[in-house]
Amino acid sequence: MAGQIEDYKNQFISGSLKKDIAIFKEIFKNDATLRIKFISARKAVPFDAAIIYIDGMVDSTQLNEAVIEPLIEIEVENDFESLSEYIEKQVLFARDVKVKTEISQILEGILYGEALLLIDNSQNALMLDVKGFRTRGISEPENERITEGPREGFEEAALLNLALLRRKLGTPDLCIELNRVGRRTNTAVFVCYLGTLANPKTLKKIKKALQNINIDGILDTNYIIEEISPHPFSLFKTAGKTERPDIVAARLLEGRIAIIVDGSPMVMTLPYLFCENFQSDEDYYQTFLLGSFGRMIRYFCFALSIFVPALFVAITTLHPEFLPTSFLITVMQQRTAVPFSIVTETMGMILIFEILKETGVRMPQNIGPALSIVGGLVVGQAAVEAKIISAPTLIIVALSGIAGLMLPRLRAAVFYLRILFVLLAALWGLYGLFCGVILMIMHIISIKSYETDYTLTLNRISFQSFKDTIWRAPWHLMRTRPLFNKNITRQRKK
Amino acid sequence: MKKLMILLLCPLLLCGCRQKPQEYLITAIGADYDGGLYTLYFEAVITNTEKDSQKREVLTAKGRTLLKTVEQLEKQATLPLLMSHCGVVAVGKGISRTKLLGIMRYCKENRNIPLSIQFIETESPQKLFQTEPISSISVGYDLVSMMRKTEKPLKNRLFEIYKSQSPVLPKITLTEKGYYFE
Repeated sequence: MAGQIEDYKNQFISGSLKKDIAIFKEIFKNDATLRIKFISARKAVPFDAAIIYIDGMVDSTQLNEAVIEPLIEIEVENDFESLSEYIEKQVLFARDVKVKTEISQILEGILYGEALLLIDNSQNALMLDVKGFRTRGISEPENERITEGPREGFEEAALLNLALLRRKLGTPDLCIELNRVGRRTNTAVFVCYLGTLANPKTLKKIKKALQNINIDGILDTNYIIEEISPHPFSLFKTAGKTERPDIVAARLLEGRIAIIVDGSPMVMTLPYLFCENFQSDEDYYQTFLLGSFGRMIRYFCFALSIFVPALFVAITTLHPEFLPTSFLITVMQQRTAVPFSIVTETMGMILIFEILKETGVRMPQNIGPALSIVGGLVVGQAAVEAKIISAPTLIIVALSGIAGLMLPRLRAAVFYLRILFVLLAALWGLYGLFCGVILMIMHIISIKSYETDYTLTLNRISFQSFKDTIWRAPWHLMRTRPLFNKNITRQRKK
Repeated sequence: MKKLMILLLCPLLLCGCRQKPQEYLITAIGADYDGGLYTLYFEAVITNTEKDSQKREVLTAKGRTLLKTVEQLEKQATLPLLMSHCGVVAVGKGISRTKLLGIMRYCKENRNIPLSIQFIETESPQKLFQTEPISSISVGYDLVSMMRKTEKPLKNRLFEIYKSQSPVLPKITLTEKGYYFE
């Protein structure tokens, strides 16, 4: 396509079929998928028309049956003021027909899968909703598998995702606003919220941030997250991301805002709280006792995954008095022939674990188990026996790595904090480690996710604020929703 | 970016420098005084690369003052001394009450020695450490286990003796078969 959509703002179609077709041919001169179908109706109402669309993006059956056939078969001679208005209202069967005159708006429609109907001697173009591109279909998200609860997940087509969300929230209070982001991709970005629950200030800020995005292309939700994040360099996420409609619906019911990006199955939710990193949708689909246990385990695993290697390095290097003698002797014995310092060994092992993890993710599914056996068992065992690494270090790093796998939403934080704490522990022992922990807590407390404190639910020590954070209270006790908006009714349950 | 990478790698190099490959794990200290000289015995365990094998050694030094004797012993030792897991101080019959207080002061001021270290009395620390350990890797840890099993609390830990200022130390007797508390 020649130029950008913005280049055609304030340019209108002329009404001459030949001239208008020439304009669109020129715009799409480098696009081999553009199709132009000429129609010459010669029955009761004689006229010439043309349908312009992009091959593969429209449903050809629907185009034939709902548009072309009725146009050719017009038989009734009527008194009408405008042929285009008559065709729009009385002839076409398309799902939606919009009248457009500005070329930029027409281009947006064509690129979004609509067909353009140009009628000779009419200055109104009709945009026909005959979208029909293939989608992946609704399936369970690979990364958010659960054993109990709904299994459907979002997919790449935003309209289908909106339908999935609408099915969960059967209320006219659900607001869906369309924005176009990306100079070249012109991606459809939908902002969804419940009008009576969402915080207007947050909403305004998010909309402004979306408008201020100046990037040539948006291909995934993460582009938006990074562009509008208030703390882009933080290790902790300030925006939620999920593939599950039930999670998005639950977030909207709490007064949050969702952003759906066309072309991505990931839906973004804002504001995002620290405690959400430890929540799983399965917590709500099984008994609260199991849900609470799972959540507490996740908090414990977070601590385990970031502190254990650092504690091991600090204690074995600088504070051996903390170790029981028998364990100290075991560590000393194991380390006698290892040529590396504990910190080098630990850091190396952390990196190797990350390599194995990354390879496991990228590998085809049938090679995955073989890789785990070779990487984890054979190489690990051989390295210990060859005295390249010591068994206690291997156990500590593996324990920390496995614990870290429980927190997919904190992957970046866990990886970097683990390394940072190991370095601090190696330099200044437990003193360095605790300084690091204090700095981390200070950072977490200082984060704001769109006008909302990141630790909102943890700031006040009360039953109602803890009810859905470190444990999951039974539904009959969860009477209020989080305080995202002071002006709304917090009462969730009557 | 290069500067940042160098900065990140520097701590790794520093940490490598402070790495101690092997250490003497001191399990017990013996002290005696004879002919104007202090004699110190450090019972040490060093680990071998082979599975479940540790070697026990007794390091000995003599000197006019306690501090000089310790310095002498540290010089003689081929590996660094790790004092944090030392469990017992066995004092010989040559150690008077004043000298015992001196040893206790040394133990208190050396921050690597735990305050829970226990003091016992013996005829000869040299003979005590020459006997083979009965149940654990060192005589020192044998003694600690035996004291843990006594019915009456011994109150012979460093901080307990310091508090009372009138130490009555449990006495260990050596026999051909081993050792026992009186």
